[in-house]
Amino acid sequence: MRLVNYIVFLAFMVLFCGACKKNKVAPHESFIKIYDDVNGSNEYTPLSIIETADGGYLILSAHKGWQILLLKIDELGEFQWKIELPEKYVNATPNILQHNNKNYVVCMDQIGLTTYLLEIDVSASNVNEMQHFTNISYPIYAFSNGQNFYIQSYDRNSRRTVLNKLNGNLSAVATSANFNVNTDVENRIIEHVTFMGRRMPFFVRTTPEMSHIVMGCFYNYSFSTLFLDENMNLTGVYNGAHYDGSISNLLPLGNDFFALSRFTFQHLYFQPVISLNPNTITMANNIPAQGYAELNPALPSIIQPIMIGDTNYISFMASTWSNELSVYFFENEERKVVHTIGQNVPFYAADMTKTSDGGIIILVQVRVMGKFPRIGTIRLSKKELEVIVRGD
Amino acid sequence: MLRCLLFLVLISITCHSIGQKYYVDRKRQMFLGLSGGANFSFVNVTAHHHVLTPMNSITDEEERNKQYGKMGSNAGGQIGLYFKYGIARHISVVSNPSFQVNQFRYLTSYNWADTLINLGVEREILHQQKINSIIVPISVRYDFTINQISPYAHFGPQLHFLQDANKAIYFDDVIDGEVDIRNSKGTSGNVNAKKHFNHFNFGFLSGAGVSYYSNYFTLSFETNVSFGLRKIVNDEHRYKDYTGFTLQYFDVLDQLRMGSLALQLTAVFPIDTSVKLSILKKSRN
Repeated sequence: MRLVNYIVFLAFMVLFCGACKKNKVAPHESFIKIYDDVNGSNEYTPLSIIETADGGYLILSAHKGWQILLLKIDELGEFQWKIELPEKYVNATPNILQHNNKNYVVCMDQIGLTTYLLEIDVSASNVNEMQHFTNISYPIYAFSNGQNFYIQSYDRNSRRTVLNKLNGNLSAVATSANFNVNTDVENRIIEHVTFMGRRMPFFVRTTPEMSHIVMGCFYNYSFSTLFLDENMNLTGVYNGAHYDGSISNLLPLGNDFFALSRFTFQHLYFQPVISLNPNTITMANNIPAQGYAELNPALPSIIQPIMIGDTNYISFMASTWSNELSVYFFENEERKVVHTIGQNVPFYAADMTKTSDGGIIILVQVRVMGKFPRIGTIRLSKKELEVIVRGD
Repeated sequence: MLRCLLFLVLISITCHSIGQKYYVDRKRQMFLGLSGGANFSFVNVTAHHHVLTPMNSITDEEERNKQYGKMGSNAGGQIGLYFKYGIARHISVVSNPSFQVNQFRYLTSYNWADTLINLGVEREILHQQKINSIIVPISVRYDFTINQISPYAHFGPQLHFLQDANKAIYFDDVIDGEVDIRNSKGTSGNVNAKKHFNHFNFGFLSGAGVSYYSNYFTLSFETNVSFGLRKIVNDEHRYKDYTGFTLQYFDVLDQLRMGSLALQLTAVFPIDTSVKLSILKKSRN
């Protein structure tokens, strides 16, 4: 009888212990979603994602070529609403801009190729035209550092890249600077803005000290990286190798240190910490960096600083030739771990943003059934990131 | 189920009708043997999860949900040891630790219109999961008679320890409510999915059967129903895509509880320190 009692006691203790374990990841912290459209010929090119005040996310996407779609999803990644902007608004620059607690999109007029500034009112689920800049043509990138708002554009008449700094209320151009391309790159610009060909990795950044503006743009027969001072005067150039080798993304870390990715023909390189001289003229391909043969340089590469646990990491994300997404985490200059997502299906990362709870959400394009380009999101929780960087 | 009960009743009547030369003395007797048989799993969905999310708000939720296969299509099997200790003439403690394979399937289907080739595109996907577990039940068994042929019932807690789990996808391009595994258009092959499932579960097992006792062995046929109380899918790993199926086949597991109906045969042998086994005693009538 003692044996029986012992067995029963043991069994119930195990049951009790089993019942104590709780699942620690809430449904909103980890998910993969693909936003589908039963119309097979509709194509979506996701561009940017931000977290909204209600805990959900706002997604900017191109669709049907250069048309613009805004998609709102809730914290679980479920569809809430979408707005297809009227046909006159095309070619959204590839980011949702957060400036003075408002969300903006910069886009182009379908006929006049001029520039619109649109405000997105998430709570009212609508989009308002704030400004029409008739003197800015071919907007290709926009950036806000919270204080200043910049629009990079291309002037087809003078064959110049133009950087426009808007005034405080975003109603007019306060200052602009022009940079000679010296050759006609309008075809390349058209390929970029219509989503019908090669997308160039344009960017604008400012250093944390606000001492320099760094810009990836067409310049002097190439795709180059320009350093400008606070008055938008050119101070230095990292020249590209024509259009097939240059810096493709850059994150200023402060004190002239940067994390960057650069490309050379078929290869993509990462450098998590490097000192760049903003007052020099040199070749971008001379910047020491680690090459990754598995990565496709034609697809966006994303750089984000992220704190996981108590450690600051630089994360690089890029898409592989074999339909995987690779996220590299660097602690200082040392690569800690690479995490891969997906396989078999053509997909690539378009954007990544940190979430308020310490996780990340990755915006991707997925070819559903290998055919239909659709918007997708991959949400990783803080705990998942901790597991990833531990290498478990 | 009804047939099984009818069978047991018939057996019970038969045992009374066969004149009883012997009765079975189970008290303080230990039995050890083997068991094996088939099982049919059923699932209870507690939360639905989807990868593909339509970009409209008028989607019928029921249409999006997975269509789970009926119990008959979820056949598995089990083989194990059978231990029994008689506490009294009618009451025994039973443990039947076994290796069990459970299976469950579900169907998903998707379609797109207005494609570039002006034809609709359909995809119907059969998701097949096979879960291997070590099951450790501890039951109290009540034998209704002390006859040589005796029906019984048992009930008790059960522990599940996941040993392995695999998943395979089969698909075709016609939405007709079924995917023929042998003639499917494509398959993923078998892929390990162990990390997607919780490694421990517990629940309850109840069942009934009939035993035939001889001096040297006992044969039983029994049917059991077991049900796990814990959810079987690991919420933390739901979207980790260990199988690689998430983006390709829009595959994500719902949250489930799982149970099964098992039919099995047992052959057990009395264990005694004495040289002569004598579980059968002469009846007085």
